[in-house]
Amino acid sequence: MMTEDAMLDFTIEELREFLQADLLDVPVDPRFKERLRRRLWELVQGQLRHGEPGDDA
Amino acid sequence: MPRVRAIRREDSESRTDLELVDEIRAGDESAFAILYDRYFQRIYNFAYTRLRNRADAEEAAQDTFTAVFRSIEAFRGTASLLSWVYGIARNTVNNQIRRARAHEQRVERAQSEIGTPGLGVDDYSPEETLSYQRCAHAVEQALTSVTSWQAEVFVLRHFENLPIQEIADRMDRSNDAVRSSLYRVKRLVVDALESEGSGAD
Repeated sequence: MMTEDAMLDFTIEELREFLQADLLDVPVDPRFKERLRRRLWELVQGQLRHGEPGDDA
Repeated sequence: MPRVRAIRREDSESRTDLELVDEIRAGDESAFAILYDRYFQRIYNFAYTRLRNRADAEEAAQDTFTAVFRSIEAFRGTASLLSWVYGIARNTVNNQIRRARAHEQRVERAQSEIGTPGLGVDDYSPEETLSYQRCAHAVEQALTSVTSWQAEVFVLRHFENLPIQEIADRMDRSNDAVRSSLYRVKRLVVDALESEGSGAD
């Protein structure tokens, strides 16, 4: 897993590149976005379930 | 009943990343949706800018968000979420670029091997040579029309003769994902061969 500290290790150039990309209008397939959203939420739910073994079920 | 609340605009803008992360940990799907919407386009744009390809950008966005939400439990807020997410996106994209370069080198090597007269082309009949060249062309076509990791899987399996398990380990994918990718590329090769065959008639 990547730590937060490790993630801070980037240059101003890289940050500028990221922010410039932020200004672009890149079309996204809405079906892909929605499909990924659903999969990620399932992932989060699965993790939350594992994190709470003493569920009130 | 799923815990979905209507997302009001002011609601989505007023909550900080850290508040949203806390609410996600409490199982709030609307907080998750806000955070996802807040970062999706930025990450996708960044990936697309670097990779210049929709399929690769989608793969990078998927891998990035999967890594983010897989470790969201561990996020403590010592860094901003933006820098954390960006750091993951940058690493993901860089890995993808490295994999694509390695794949290109492998394909080039495979192509030069296919086209090397030293392989014994003279030993084959003209029909066999033509059939061999058609096959090589079909493989080349298939490999350029799939994502870089799928092409790499095919090369590892069919040019380097690695077992499925080893490919899955190397590529950090499941055995099923590797098999399904191999099936897809093979299907493309077969389709390309069929279309070449029908075109030649």
